[in-house]
Order: sequence, then C-alpha cells, then structure tokens
Amino acid sequence: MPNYKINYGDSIIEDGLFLKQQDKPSVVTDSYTDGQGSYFHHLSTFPGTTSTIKEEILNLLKTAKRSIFFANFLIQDEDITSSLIQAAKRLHGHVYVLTTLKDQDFDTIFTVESKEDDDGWNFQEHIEHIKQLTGNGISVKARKDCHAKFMTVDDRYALITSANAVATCYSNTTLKNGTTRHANSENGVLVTISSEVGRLANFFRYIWRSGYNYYISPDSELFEIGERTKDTIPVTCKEPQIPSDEGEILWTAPDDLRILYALTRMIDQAIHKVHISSWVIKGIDKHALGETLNAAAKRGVEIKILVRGIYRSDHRESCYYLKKTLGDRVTILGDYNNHSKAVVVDQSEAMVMTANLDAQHGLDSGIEIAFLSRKPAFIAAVSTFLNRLQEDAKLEFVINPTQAQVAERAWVRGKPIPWKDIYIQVDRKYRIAPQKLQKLVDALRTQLVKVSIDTTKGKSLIHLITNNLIIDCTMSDTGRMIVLDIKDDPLAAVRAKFGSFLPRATITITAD
Amino acid sequence: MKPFKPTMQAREHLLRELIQGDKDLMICFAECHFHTVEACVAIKKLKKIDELELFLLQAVNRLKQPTAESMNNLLHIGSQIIRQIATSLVGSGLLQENTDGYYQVTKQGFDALQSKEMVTYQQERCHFHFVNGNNEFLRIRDSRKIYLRDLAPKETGDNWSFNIETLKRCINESDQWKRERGFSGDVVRLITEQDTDSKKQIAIDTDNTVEENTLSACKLTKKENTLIVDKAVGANCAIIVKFQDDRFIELKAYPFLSKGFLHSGDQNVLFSLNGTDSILKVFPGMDIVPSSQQIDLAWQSIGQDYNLRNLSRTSIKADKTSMTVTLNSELISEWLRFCWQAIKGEIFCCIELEDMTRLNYVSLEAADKEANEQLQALKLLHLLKSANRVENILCDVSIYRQWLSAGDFPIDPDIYELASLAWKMGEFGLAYRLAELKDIADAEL
Repeated sequence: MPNYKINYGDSIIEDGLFLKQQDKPSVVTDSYTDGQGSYFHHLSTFPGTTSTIKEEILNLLKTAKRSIFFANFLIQDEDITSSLIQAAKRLHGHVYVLTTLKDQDFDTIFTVESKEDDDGWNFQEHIEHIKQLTGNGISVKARKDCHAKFMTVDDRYALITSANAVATCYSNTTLKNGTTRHANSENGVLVTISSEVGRLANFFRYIWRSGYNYYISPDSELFEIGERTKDTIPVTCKEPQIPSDEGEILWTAPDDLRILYALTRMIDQAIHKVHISSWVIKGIDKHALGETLNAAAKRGVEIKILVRGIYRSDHRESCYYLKKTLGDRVTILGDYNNHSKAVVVDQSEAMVMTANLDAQHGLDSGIEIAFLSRKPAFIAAVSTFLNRLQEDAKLEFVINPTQAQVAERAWVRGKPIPWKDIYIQVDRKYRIAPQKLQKLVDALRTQLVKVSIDTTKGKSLIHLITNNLIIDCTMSDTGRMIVLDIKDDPLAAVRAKFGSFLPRATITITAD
Repeated sequence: MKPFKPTMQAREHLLRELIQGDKDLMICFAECHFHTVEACVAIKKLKKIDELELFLLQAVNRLKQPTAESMNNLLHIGSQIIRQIATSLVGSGLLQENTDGYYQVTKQGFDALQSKEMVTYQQERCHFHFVNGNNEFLRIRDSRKIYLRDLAPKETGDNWSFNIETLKRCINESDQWKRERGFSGDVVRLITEQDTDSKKQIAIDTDNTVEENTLSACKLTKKENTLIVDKAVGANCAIIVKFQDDRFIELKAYPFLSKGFLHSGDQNVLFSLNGTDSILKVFPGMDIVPSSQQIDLAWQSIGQDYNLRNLSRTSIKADKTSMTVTLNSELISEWLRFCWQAIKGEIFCCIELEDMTRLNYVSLEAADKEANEQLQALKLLHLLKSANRVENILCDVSIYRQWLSAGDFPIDPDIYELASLAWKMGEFGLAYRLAELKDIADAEL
C-alpha cells in the first residue's frame, strides 16, 4: 500500500458552524435593567444574575387574590411548585395548572427542545412535581401540543415567557460532575392591559373547559391520569373586539396562526433592521418565513438572528440556508445557553413569544403565546434585551470555513490537541482494507475531522471521526497513531461525541 | 345484655360498612347472652308416599268393601303383605279399620292421595335460642354454620335460669307469631320422658353433660320429665336499628370478632327483630333518653377523639337517637372539619347505657345567625356532593341554579366562597367543579 502525506487544514468545508467571534472584545454587561412601561414589565434570566422572570412568577403567586391560571410545558422548579401549593392553600384552591402529562408528548416537544444540551429537562422529575401539586389539592390538566409558558392572575396580570419552570431557566446550577452550568438566557413580559389579559385568560379557560387531552383530579391519595380525548381541538374563546393600542396577545393554535402572520407581516414591513432571538431556527429553508427574511434582506434590511450555538444538523441547515442566500446581509450569532424568543423590527414593533423560529412546531402548529406591541417603551425594552444577548454572544455562524478555522475557533468541550505533525501507521496485522484506508485519506483531504480520546479502558484510545467514518487508533511509544480499525458509520458526524477538532497539521500515513 | 364499647377505628369501619350515611339508622353495641336450649321435639315432616302404599290407598278408595283379601284380588301381592302395609297406613292416620274389618280412607288419606305425600312426625334434638333475662325467643341464623361457632360459651351468673314453659309457649303460639319470629312451624311438641320412644332420642351427649352448677356454661335441667340442655353462649354484637319518627322498625344484629370488626367478608345478620314492641322487649335500653351525666361523658369522649378545645362553650342535649350540639360561629370556624364530618353523618357519640352502648348521631345547631349561615353552607355542600354524584349539576351555572332553587335552600352562598369552603374541607374535586363555574367562565371583554 502507498504512503500518503496530507496537509490537513486548508480544505474548505461546505457546511456552516458556530465559531468563536474573532476580535470580539470581552464585554461584561452589569448595567442591564429590564425595561418597563405603564402596561408591561420586561423580564429576563441571564447567567449569574437573579431571574426577574422567576421573581415575578413567585410574586404573582404570592399576591394572587382570586385565581391563578398557570401554563408551563415543564414544572421542575422547587420554588415554583411550593409557591403554587402555598397559593392554593391561601386561596383554598382556584389554582389551575396546564402542563404535560404524557411522556410521549414530552418526547414530541422535547425533540424541539434540547436533547443534546444539559438543560436538565426531565419528565420523571416533572411528574414528581405534578404529584405534589395534585396531592395538595391543585387541579392539573394537559394539552398534548402545548409548548407555551404563560400565566394569568385574577384577570389582571398576564406573564408570557420563554422559560420552562425548571431551575436551569432561572439560575446557574451545579452539574453532577461539580461544574457550574450557566443559566439559560430567557425572556418574558408581564402585561397588565386589562382586555389583553382577559384575552389570554379566556384562551386558557377554553383549553381548561374543552381543549385539554388529559387531566388529574386533585386528591391527596390518588394520582391517576385520565384521558378526555386524543384529538387536538381548535381554540375559540371570547376576545376583545379590537386589540389594545398598547399591544396584543397573539397565539399559535390549530387553524389559528396569529404569531406566524404577525411575524411575516412585521418582517415584510421592515425598513432598516430585523433582530430575532430564538433557541434554534428550523425548517426555515422550506418555509414562507425564509422567503420573507430573504426578501427583507434583499431590500436592504439588516437581519440579525441570535440563537443557541449548538451543533444539531437541522438547526445548522436553516442557518446555512440563510447565510448562503443572504451573505453579509444576515448575521447569525450564537451563545451557549440561549432559550429566549423575541423579535424587534426597526423601532416600530417588538414581540416576545414562547415560539421558536421553527417551521415544524410553534409557528405552524402547537400552542404558543406572544405579546406584540408598537409602543416605544416596549420596543426599547426588547431591544435592550436583544442587545445584551448580542453583547454576550461569543459565537457567529460561519459558512464554508477551512478545516483550520474550525479547529481554532469552534466552541468545543475539549481543548485542541497541539499536534503539528501526525504520523498514522496502518499495520498489516490489523487487516485494514485498502478501500477503507482510501476513504480515510479522502476524508482527511476534504472533511472536518473530530478527535475523541477515550481513557475509560485503561489504555488511551483515539477516535478520529469524519462525516461517515470512525477510526480507532492507539498511540505507540514513538508517538505514532496505530490504526486499529476503520468503521463505516453514515451518521458518525451526528452521533459521535468528541472533544475537539483535528488541528492544522501535516499528516503522514504509512502502510506496511 | 351488657354494654361494650368498640374502638373508634372499629366504629368507623362499621359506619362505612353498615350505615353508609343513612340517618334513619341507629347503631348500638351489646354483649348478648343467650340460652341455647337443646331439646328433643316432635317435628312434623312431609314424606313422599311409597308406591305400594299409594296403590293400597287407591285400592281402598276404589273398592266398596275393602278388606286385605279383596285388595289382593286387585293388587296380587299377597294378603299378608297388604295387611302389613294397611296397618302402617292406619298408624300414619291415612286409613282407619272399621269394626267389621273394612278399611276406610281418612281425610288425611284423601289429602295424601292428592299430594302423594303424607305427614310424619319425627323426634329430633333441636336448638332454640332465648335472650337471657326476659327469655325472649330469638332466631339465630346459622345457615352457613358460622355464627354458632362465633357465639362463645359464657359463664352463667346467679340469675341464670330458663323456664321450659317458655319453649312450650313458643311451640303453642300461632302460625303468624312463629312466622314473625322465625320459629319453626314444624315443631309440634316437646318430647317428654313419658314418650316411650323418647328416652333413647334425648340421651344427652357426654360432651354436653355437666352437673348442675350455677356458674357453668352448660346446664342440664330436668323439668316436667323433659330433658333439655341449656348452654350459655354470648357474642359481641353491633346492632343496627332502623327507625322512623319515634318508632323502631327493624333491628339487625351482626356478630363481632374479638378485635371489634365484623366477621371478615360477610355482613350476615346474626338475628333480627321487627317492630318496636319486639325490639324493646329484647333491648329495653334502646328507648332510654340518656341522663345529663351520660351525655356529658359522651361529649367529653368526642372532644378527645376529635381533639376539640373549648368543649364547655357548647350546650348539648340528647334524645333516643341523636345528640345535638349548639355552636356559635367562632366555634364552627375552629371546628370546621368536625362540623363537616358531623353534617356528613360521620360523627356519633357513645352513650353508655345499662345494657348497651348506643351511638347517637351528633347533629349541630347554630347559636346565632352567622353560625346558622355557616352550617347551612356546609349542609348545602353535602347535598351538592351527593346530588352531583347522581347527576352532573355542576356542568353549568344555570343547572346549578335550577337545582338550588328546586331545593328551596334557605341560603344562596357565593359560588366562589362555596368552592373555597369545599377545598378547606378536603373535597378538592367538588371544590374545583364549583370554582370552575365562576373561574372558568369566559371573562366579558
């Protein structure tokens, strides 16, 4: 078999990745304050600071005088659970909780949410909290497509937020390995416009009366999930005849895509800029919203999108589509824990929502809530929040980077290994087929190679991971990588966990 | 009868199993002592007539001058056999022989020809149960052969005595009397020593033979040449009495196991009585109005069981079936759960009478207007809970209102407040059904 010498690093990768922003000054923004107006209070969670979202939820639960409608996809936060129970004790019931009760519904939406991250969303833990609620006399129902997180209190206050009622959405937490997991960036808004609060409360009421799928009767001894229907029922409720001047509550519900229509209209009418925050963007390349963004960019509107800089392919496909189509007219920034969802268009409109820019769930289907306002105070508050997110964002989405750029700037868990010259030896005794060796050579010339070091079996094993190969190696005493096996795996790039990318290096492959 | 007081746990179990919130029922507990009298009696029994006997009867009926010979011409079984059968039929009273040697069918014989059955009399040793003291007959049900086992032998006291005349009177009573009390109508008479065949029949088992002893559980008595065994047995009984106005209608007694619970898996009645007179004859204590001291003791005991403070701030009165506690609004608020249980009919006070422990219902009275409203609200809640189980009246506020006005309730409390009250009582499901009528109705915008 021939020997090979490959200069790894200069090949362009036809893909997009979140890479660390170059020359980004390290800014520590301490001066952030949530904006507020006479009819709203913007709310947020940032890593390391007190969550005003949680503060406001606890405050509302503590001061409610008559009834509480609480909707959240997940309830795992001890303080929220105990405050709901305290509120029920104080009000002698009158606390209504709408959430998730079936693991399959959790799994359906959880794929929309994070599986590869460490957000701590856990269905079993959630159900334990629900048991506490029903055991303490709180009635709980579930709608299987409800991803929204909102509450109304006494028909006077409405709170809409991106945050699940889980500790990671409110504060830094300590992971099992003892490291600190920074809080998600989350946003929300407290609204006090009477008619709009009533609109949202009536929306909740309809689901509670007729639009739910499962229920648990409050009982101190019995915990039994009952099923009302398997159908997803459209929501129709009493609404104000005209929206308030201050703003409007919108939703996504079956056959009622108000959030999508508002978003499309806002972007269509944009003149200068569209700033968006979303946990991920998905399916935009095949969705009318993608075309709307394209059209806006093409007429000179600055598009800035901030998302979580995660590696998942469907998310990167949409980012790649936008970036490739719009080039410098779109900036896609990433951070490590963003989960907020908001849009600001020029200085004319802003919207806080529970929906991601997700064509599969949130814009075209499911239950989501948003608050849209054209009032300057609200626009300023959401803009300030998005500016703070952008200042904190360490990553930018880069398309077609070189192998070396990725190795140097990718956000990975492990540090890049400082290899410059790499010797890979293919030993006859391991019977590596020539075709597989050829595949490895081709991959090193054209693809990104990830490195994973496995020390669990006593001796260090090095795995080189390409798009569709996993190469198992061991290190010889002389510093050469000895190839033990080359395995075909079409999903290697998606599945394999890795520590870093292979750095720029001259790779010599010798085969005897 | 002697009183016994089962534990609160046992009482609650009983209330759940037997009373189930029926306010026309009263419950008492007594240790019942019975004379279990084993006596030899003649029992009337119907026996199917043998085919030959039937042929013979038919032949006598058909022939003009039936003799053994003329019947043999018809039956061809031999005159001697015919004579034997005829003698047996004469003994049974179906035939009679004239002085001139002809047989004749009696009235009984004609009946037997119709029914193909004949009445015979057998001597049997039977058990009869009488309440100690007044010697009232009680039918102990032992169809499944479990209750007699549960009746434990009891020591007899100085006053232990049973007069055989009591049993004789029962045997001679009318059919109606027997039917009402479950006394066997087939018992014709007591067998005495004078009955020539009876001596063997009434020989007493050695196990049962005990010398005359006033403190023994088993007593052999010879009276009027009649041999009986009088065994003393007793059982702890829960006695459920159905009453209407001031009259006791029906009494059912259930045996208890030693721990104070019903025999597992069954609710078979040990004995029952019908009518006020019969009931009071056996349980005269049923009718007694407790003394103020007995009432006070019972109320103190409730206070301890339910951890109630300020008992002295109430006034109490009691009649035969209930105890009424008068409360002011402050006490109602303090004892809300107790009031709720009392309104649901779950609270009884134990009045210890001479011959039984009687559970009187605890009912509540309001001392003032505010207290009255509070009690009415709890009563409404209780009715609402029962009614909503039967028909879904809380599906809509208008249906609830209709139900309310049909019931002519003296109060119309705010639904929101009523829901809160239900929640405070631990009736979470009902609380939400009520609250939803208000909370979940669309807001006007």
